[in-house]
Amino acid sequence: MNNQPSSNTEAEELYRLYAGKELSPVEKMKIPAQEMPNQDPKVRSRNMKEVALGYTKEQAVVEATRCLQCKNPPCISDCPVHINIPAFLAETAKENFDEALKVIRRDSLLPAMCGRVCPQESQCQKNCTMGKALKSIDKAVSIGRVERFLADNVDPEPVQIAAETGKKVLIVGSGPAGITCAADCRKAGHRVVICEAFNKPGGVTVYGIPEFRLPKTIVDKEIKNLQAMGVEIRPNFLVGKTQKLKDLMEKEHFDAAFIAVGAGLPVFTGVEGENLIGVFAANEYLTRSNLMKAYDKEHALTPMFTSRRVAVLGGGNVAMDAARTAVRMGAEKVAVIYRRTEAEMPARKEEVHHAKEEGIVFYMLKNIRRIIGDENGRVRQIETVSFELGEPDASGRRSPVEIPGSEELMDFDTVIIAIGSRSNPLIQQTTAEIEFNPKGNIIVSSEMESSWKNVFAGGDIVSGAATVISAMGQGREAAKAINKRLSEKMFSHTFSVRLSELDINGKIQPYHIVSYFQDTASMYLRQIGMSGFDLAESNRGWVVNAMTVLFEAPLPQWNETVEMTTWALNRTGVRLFRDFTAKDGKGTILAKGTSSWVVIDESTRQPVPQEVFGDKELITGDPILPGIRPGRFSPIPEENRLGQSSYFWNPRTSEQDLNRHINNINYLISCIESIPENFRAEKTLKRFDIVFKAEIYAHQQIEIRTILGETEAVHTLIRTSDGKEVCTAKTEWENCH
Amino acid sequence: MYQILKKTQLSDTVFDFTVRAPLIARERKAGQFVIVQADNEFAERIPLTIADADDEAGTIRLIFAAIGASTRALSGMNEGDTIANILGPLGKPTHIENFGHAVCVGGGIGVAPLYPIVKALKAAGNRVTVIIGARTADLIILEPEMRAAADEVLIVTDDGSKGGKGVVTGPLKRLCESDTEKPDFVVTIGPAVMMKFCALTTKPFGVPTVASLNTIMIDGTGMCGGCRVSVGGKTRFVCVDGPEFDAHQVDFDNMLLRLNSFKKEEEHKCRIGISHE
Repeated sequence: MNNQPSSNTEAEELYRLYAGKELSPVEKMKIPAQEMPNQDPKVRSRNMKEVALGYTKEQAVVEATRCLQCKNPPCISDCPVHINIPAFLAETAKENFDEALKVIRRDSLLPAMCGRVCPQESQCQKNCTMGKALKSIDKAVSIGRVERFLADNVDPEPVQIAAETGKKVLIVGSGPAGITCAADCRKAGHRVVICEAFNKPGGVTVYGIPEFRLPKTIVDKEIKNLQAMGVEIRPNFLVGKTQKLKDLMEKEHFDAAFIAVGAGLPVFTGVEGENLIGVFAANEYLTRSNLMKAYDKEHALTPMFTSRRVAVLGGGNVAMDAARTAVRMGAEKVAVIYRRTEAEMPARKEEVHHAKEEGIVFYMLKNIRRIIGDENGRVRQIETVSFELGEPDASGRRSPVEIPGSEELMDFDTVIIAIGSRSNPLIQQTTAEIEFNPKGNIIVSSEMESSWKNVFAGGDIVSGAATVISAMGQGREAAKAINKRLSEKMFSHTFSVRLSELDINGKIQPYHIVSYFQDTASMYLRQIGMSGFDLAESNRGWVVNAMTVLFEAPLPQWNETVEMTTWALNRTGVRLFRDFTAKDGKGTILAKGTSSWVVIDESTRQPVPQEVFGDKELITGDPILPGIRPGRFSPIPEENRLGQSSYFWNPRTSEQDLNRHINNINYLISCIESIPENFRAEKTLKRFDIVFKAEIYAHQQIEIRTILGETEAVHTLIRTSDGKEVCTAKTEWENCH
Repeated sequence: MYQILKKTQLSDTVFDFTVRAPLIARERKAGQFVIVQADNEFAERIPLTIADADDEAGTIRLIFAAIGASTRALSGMNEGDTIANILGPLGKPTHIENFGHAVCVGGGIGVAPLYPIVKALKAAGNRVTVIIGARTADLIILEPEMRAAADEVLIVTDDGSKGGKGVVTGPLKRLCESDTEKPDFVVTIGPAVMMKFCALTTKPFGVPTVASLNTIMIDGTGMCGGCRVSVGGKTRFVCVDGPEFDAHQVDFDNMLLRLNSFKKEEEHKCRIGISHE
């Protein structure tokens, strides 16, 4: 236990009375709701430290004991990530704190954050039976506070991560949606990379939510947990600008992406005087204070505007955060101006309460009409106008109606605008593949997938400005969809060797590599039933470079018949193309793709001229180049070409087949004079990687060691004579029938 | 990450850094900028234009004047040191096409971001005239580079220590009035006052003029709104809508005002910095 506030005698007494006892609902209802211990308002309004100090152990147990353990708990369905709330409260009441946290972490990896910033009164605590029974939402079980107690005081177990899948997921934005999605995708065994535009990860929890409400150490801890799970975070990386999404996905072979860039673009009112000195978007004011630490005037180089009288426009959490920051920055008067009444304010109730305690004035049913500056262009006054509530609008809130002649002038030197934010336009400006609605939000399917296949989106960029927990909920939904998609047996492979990567000097024979890829490619094709289409066969004996085979398809059932269609070869210059489509018995398209290659004459090192292939040959079926079989260049011994399909696939692959496979690699490597360091062949279908780690010379002896693990795993290790590891290959299978 | 590979001092206050930043070097186009933050905790985020880049070497060139606390701290870094954070390339690239006669007006440190634009305009087939203005001869930067890149370079200084005595609007006006040399396109980068008067100079002649604005900025990604300017009566963000705007539409008076938002607070910091030197 750490970070505990001082003892609470009342709670200790209740703890002695009730802890661990079987209580009837009537008895439970008699237990007083536990108040959160807070820093004294007078003290805290002069520091940036966290306001709420957290429950003591006794308080947490007493509060958890109040839970009625409803048969149909409304709290679970009202929680955006559906935490099993009664279960964790029951464990807390029994002082099984480890178990309690485990229950939470099944559905939320960020309890320390959620316990602090979730609007519980409009979510899990909204329909709490205890609150209903006592006829006050304030008497609902304080779920968030107990959650926070557990997160702060129990060390979580390390997250279990599934076996590596070899798939890669890109997350754009490290706010609540991004980190939730990242964690869930990583748990499923995918490699996860997060790109963050700021220098520090955390998104709104770092730049927006102030220290006194969510200490940055809490965010840091969550980020470190994420990194410990193996998630890579790239700061200073603005997707769309530093690199376009498409380029990034293609260059680094991401299988899926999740866009969670938030709604960061501040909305201005458009009133006169909005560009005067002393008018700030809440985003700017808060970013200066939070991310740039401008509140620490002694150390920070980023300045904070010196204010005496501050008007904050808006009624949400951001408005409360800005107003309370202004108090801490030394303002004499801080007023929140909101055009509806307190009942309609979207801010967390607790924040409004805290703001009032800190001396912030609330002007309800007022709006700003214009901002008046002095002779130096600095804010001097604001003119407000008053409203009364009319009929409910589309959002169900009663819309304010202006009272004529209600204008009045108030003295302020600073105006902070916190009336909402729109989605950032950068992704829209730079990503033509994704559809947006007129508001600039990404349009997604029910599974959070955008119009661009395998690119998902969630959080405020989809829903418009909302809460941390709803963003987390969407991050979780998207992760579920991504994990499902990536577990489908999809093909998506690029085999590509650029001639320029291989220094041709007469000794190097790049076609060996290409041929090897060809074999693999053709093997994949056969695996989805594309018999009679054998790329390796069709090109045997020729030096083929720049061969690319691209296709994407779900794997058919093992016994399914697949109909394969190919088109005649097309040609652009010396490059040959062939499209193909594979259909299952019902006519559903399983695969569509294109293969392309250039045939090079081994003796001249030049592409074979077009004349060699007459048009007639080009439109006939396989083999496409009959009769042209200069056997001495055949890179892989004929006998080793047999049975290729069993190398990687069948869990019952014989040892003989494996040896053949290894011989192939061996032969391949022995033929190569050198492989540039940056050459890297990586394929992740059922996981088969070859990573060349060093230069290999033909005269070097290469030792191959094969470790046969369980019948389902093979590791190949290749060393040079001096013991240098030059190649590792790992093969794994799932049980595929 | 962002190591300083080369540091040159161009004048009393102007520094020229070549920094490793391969991704930015690859993507950047003329007119774009970066946000630089010297350390990860307390340093300010400052927008600096990219003066040049070498895609193959993976480097960008940053030229800046050490005039505030943060730029002075940056200028104290040396070759081999690492800048904690550089974000970019940001902003929209300059719209480049063959306008005919393009005139590029740079004042003071604004000559640095002008350089890639001059090169790009030249590459697009323009006849490019560069006007460089500075307080005094010592403060003129990139003159040889500009002479190599442009068809003609005109220099003016406030004190007449180099080129003509006067301000950039002098030669600009003469070009506008000329029958043969009238610009088809003007781009101006420099102090807000200079850009304002360039805009006022070209407006009567109907010469399309863009100004690259350098406002107060925090994130550089459209998030804080600190960089907002009024363009044609509409509030625009320099970081994502700019940095270049139609100079005839920009409310330079308001921009000048807003540039001074933190004058009071910054003076304090600046003095702290100086007393250490």
